Amino acid sequence: MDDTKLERLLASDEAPIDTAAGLRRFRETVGARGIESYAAPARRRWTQALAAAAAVAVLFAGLSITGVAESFFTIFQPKQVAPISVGAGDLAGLPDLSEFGTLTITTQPAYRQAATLDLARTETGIAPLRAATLPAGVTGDARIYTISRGEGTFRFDETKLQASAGRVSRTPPPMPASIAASTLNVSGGPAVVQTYGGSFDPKSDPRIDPKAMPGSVPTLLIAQSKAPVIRSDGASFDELRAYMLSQPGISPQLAAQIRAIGDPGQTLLVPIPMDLASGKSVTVRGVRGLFVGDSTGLGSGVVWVADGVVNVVAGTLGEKELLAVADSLR
Amino acid sequence: MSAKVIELGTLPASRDPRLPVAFERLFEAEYGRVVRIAQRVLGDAAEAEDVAQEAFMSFYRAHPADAPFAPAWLHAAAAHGALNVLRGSKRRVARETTDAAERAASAIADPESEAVLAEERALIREALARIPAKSASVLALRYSGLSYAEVAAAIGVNADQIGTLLRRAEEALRKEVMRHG
Repeated sequence: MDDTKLERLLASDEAPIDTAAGLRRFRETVGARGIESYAAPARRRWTQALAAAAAVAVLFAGLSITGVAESFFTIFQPKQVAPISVGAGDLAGLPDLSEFGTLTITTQPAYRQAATLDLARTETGIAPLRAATLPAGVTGDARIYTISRGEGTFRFDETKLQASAGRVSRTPPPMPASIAASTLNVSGGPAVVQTYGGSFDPKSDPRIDPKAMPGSVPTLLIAQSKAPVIRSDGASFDELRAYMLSQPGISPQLAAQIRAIGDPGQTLLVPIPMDLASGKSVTVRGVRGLFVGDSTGLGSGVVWVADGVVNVVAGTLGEKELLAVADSLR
Repeated sequence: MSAKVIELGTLPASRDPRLPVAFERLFEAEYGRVVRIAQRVLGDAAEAEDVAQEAFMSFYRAHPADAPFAPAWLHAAAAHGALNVLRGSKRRVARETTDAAERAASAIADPESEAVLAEERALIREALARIPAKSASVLALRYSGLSYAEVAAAIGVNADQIGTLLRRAEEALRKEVMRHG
């Protein structure tokens, strides 16, 4: 079979493509589902930021609690990771958390470039893991960044929720009294990020998405962060979860997956877009982790939690190469 | 005259179906190519358009329309999306074979050779679903008319590697066809 025949066979009865009709269909979908574009107002970016935070930006999370009243108790502190398969519809329907209350950042995380890993360790208290072997194509020294600990409070506000319910067509269920009176304390970091290749700069783009910018993302990224902690002065984790899963827009499939997590207060959920990537359980340095790869081997990542630290190795590498780097960390 | 204070959060959300101009330009420039990439993999116009719509939707949500990586991102997303559909639908390949064979038998001057061609196409798509995803992507992108540079941008490698990747992918596909054909 020669190349011409191969090409002929891979062809199909290709009718002309009607771009105008495609654009009309796209506009209708956007209008019907109320989907907002990347450049839309901050309200949407907040939701996206939360999704991104759930996915990889565990980098902004931490263990130490300071300045929090003693009435707070820990409701979330991950010790393991689990995948959640999400479709495009699931993401479009996520409730906008800014409608449920007010987030106040009390300690803004700060980003800095560090000259050496030893300096990064002094700055953050995290002992950075070094890659003993690097795959072919990954060359040069790593750029090292540190991210300081950040902290914020989220105060639930039923009045705000009722006000927003009047503006949108869907009506959220009433907020239980135990949640309405609650404040959450969310903290994260510090973190150390090492990158090879590309032009990754957490100051300009803290989202770490290997597929986002093929020309400029690092070939390899190694990140470690103190695991995030959420503390509450009222509502329990189960109450919060039940309430959030009852929101309109949360698909039954997504809710069922989240309910099925056995130890939710200690499990970091990693959303995996079902159309672009797949996830599987792997063992990294003797610990169970989650490998996420896109369907073509363009990029992949592995996440695991050990000794209170969330570790991420990601890059534009295949599964074998990426896991070899993760296993070589010392 | 008193100052008016408007809290931004209380403004109603816009439901204007118009898209940002930059996005519409991107859509018009790339939709045809994105559909064609998916169609090379799937051999089905309607399914290819579904994959293209999904790719543009993911991009629309997550990235600015004027991003320099936009075309490469969309091409890669079309290849991934189509390969996922192909892998998830063995029945579809069987259906395609039957449909094509029936069409060939009913309306075409040389129904026998058309039926053979339809069967060969189905076989090659089954093989495409089985070879490594990166190889399948390279073939879909290149055979849909993208230049070496464009294929390289979509899969994130240097353009001078494409010749080798393409040869290996063609070889892998041939072997897979022989093995099961």
